[in-house]
Amino acid sequence: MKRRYSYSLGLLAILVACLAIFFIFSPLTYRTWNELIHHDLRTYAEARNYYNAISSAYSILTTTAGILLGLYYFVRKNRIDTANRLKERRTKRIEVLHEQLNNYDSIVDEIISQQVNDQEDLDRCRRKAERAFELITAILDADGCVLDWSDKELETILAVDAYVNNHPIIMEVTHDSLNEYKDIEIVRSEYIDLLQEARKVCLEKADSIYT
Amino acid sequence: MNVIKIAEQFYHRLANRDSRQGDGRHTAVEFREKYLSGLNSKEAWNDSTCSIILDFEGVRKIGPSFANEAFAYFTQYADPETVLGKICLKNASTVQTKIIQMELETGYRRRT
Repeated sequence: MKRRYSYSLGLLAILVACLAIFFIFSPLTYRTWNELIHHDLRTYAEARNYYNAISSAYSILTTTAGILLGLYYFVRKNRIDTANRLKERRTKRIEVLHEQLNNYDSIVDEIISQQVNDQEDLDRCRRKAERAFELITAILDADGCVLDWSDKELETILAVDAYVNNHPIIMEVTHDSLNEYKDIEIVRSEYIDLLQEARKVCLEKADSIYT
Repeated sequence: MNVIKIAEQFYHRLANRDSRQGDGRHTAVEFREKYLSGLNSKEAWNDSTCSIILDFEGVRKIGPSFANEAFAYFTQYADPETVLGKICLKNASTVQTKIIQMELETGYRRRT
């Protein structure tokens, strides 16, 4: 579309230039063009009047062309500015989402790594994890077609909390049971797989903003 | 048809599966027994017409474990589509709806 506009403008400019050359030189090539356009410039006054008329006509044409080009520039600039603002919003939103995923991960990692000191600490971590993912879901819900998440992308991100929230070891058992749990590495591995998929979705979305 | 305004009549944060999770209050088990007990039989699922409307206006959060206990529980009687046909969601956000759908697809994670 952009190229078509440029070509059209280019052709128009060439046409106007050709017309200008024609009108400027046509009286001088009397024999060739006289049959098409009759010129009878016998006196200086007649020639002056003729070229004044051409000059006036071309002034009007170039002024009009200037105004139209200015309008075209204004419209195009507005469109480009709007597109750039949307890209900035999308980039910012992805950054915030990525940051919140990292925050959520650091909290869940405390639990899965069995680094919590006591039951109170464990409860606190669980509450923090819930609140952290609430922010992520708020960002996804408030999207309003800025990032335009597909169903599959939403599911990939939500799958992280679905796993954590439903896992009794992470979200339900007592501090002692958590520490005694032998297969915590399996839980960690499954969780990390899901988190990586969610991060991948965010990165791919970030890439798509500028392509 | 029964319309349940969840935030007003129950709670605005649907986070806990049962008494063992979180503060143990406003749980999915309590919600299901209070509002969806009529659906807890095979006969209730003979037809798939909407029998209850759950209005999510004012609900700030629904956790996956709550959705699993409250809704995926009924996948023992019917497939996910039928469950969503029978239990109609109103004013649920995109993410809330998606969480419920995902839990229905996963199926009930029974607690022992």
